[in-house]
Amino acid sequence: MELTRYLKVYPCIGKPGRVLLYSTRRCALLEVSEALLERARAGSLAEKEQDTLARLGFLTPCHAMEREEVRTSFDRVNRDSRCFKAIVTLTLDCNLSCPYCYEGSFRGHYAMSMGTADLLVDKLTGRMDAGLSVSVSFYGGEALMALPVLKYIAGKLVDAAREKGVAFDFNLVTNGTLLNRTMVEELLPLGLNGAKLTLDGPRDIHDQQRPFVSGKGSFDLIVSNIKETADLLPLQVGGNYTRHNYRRFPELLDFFLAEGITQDKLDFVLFTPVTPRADGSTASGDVSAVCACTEEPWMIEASLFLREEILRRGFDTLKFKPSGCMIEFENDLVVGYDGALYKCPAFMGEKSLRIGSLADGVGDYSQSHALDVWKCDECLDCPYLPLCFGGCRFLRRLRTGAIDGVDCRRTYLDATLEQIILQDMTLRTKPGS
Amino acid sequence: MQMVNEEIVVLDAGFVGGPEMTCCTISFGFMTR
Repeated sequence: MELTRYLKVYPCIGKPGRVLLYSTRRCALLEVSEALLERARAGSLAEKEQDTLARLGFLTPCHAMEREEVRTSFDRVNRDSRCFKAIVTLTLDCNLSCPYCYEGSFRGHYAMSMGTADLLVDKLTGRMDAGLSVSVSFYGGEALMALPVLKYIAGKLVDAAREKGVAFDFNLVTNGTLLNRTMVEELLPLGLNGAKLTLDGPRDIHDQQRPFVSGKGSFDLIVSNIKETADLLPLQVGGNYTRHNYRRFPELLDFFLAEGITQDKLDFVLFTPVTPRADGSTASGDVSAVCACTEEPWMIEASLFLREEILRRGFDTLKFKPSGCMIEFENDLVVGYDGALYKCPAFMGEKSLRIGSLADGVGDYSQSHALDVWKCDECLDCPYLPLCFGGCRFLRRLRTGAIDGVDCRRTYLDATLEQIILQDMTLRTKPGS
Repeated sequence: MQMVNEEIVVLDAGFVGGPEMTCCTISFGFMTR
């Protein structure tokens, strides 16, 4: 047995002679003696040690076999998948007018027609007929501005799932302004099982970045809605920071605690950098304040700082998992308001990245989306591959204008992974999602 | 945490199964909206 190539070794602070082993393929973490690591490298482990390391993914019978297993990871995932997931854009209309919105160049009063909703229901019930469960993320614009069509689709699907003996649920990607208790109580019987909403830090920053169309701030209403609904369904809170304001985002967490929005009331909290809009422009014209590249030193510092502040206050945040882009998963689709199909919500509005329609089905997108871009020696030999699988096609396209290579995460992970592991070891109180 | 012996402490057993779809789940790599 050989040590996996998808391995990082870090010092064990305060414990001379000990090291941390992290398997990126499984995100497992061991503390071992340096002597054991040497025996593992030399292939001279005792039987019990070998069994333990092999069980947790730190040993492989053969590097060539392991490399091939990783290269074909998504073939197995797609073969074994029993759930069809759709991100459904009900409308491109929104009651907020956020200057940074990536949809800014194609937003408008466009909403899904009942005819398109029927095509969607047909598509999804077809998947149920094939024995798959169905999970929908309703998306926008602001999804709750298209409530009649949302309820129509969910009502049809919840009935179909019951009839066919499969599971159906849906969640909302919402700005949170319309997600009050009455709304949630109305949607729970239709399969609502969670919502992701957005608060951009403390009130003054949030109200500047996420005002209503009228210009009025939206912070107080969203906080009020969180208080009203947190006992009814899991809420995930996201927030978008810039280089200039990320240090103030922990104020939001302290505000939550002061207002009784305690750790148990939120599923998790995740702050992310503002990215340029889909057309590459920025709200302020200051490209140095936003992020299109994970190698930017300020972004590395910001992501570690905010992750630590979230965990330090006892809120949960996401944990690394072996993960890939949505384009790798055959049972994941984005449905535009007009029935156009995409493989990523960030590609909506870009005709060259449309992969089909509800009426005509899915075409071949392997070339347009560079499906195999990471299946090269450089990536297959990279210890970080199972955490990135080529990274984000959207970010690559923002930087170069095309999906013409990987969005390499090596610099970012070299700078952050050890700290992230230490944060999880010392600060995490709940298992990560 | 599970101590196998003096030489090995399992701090996190990690995840079994293939990669999952993450999209916006890893702190970057998603459009702002």
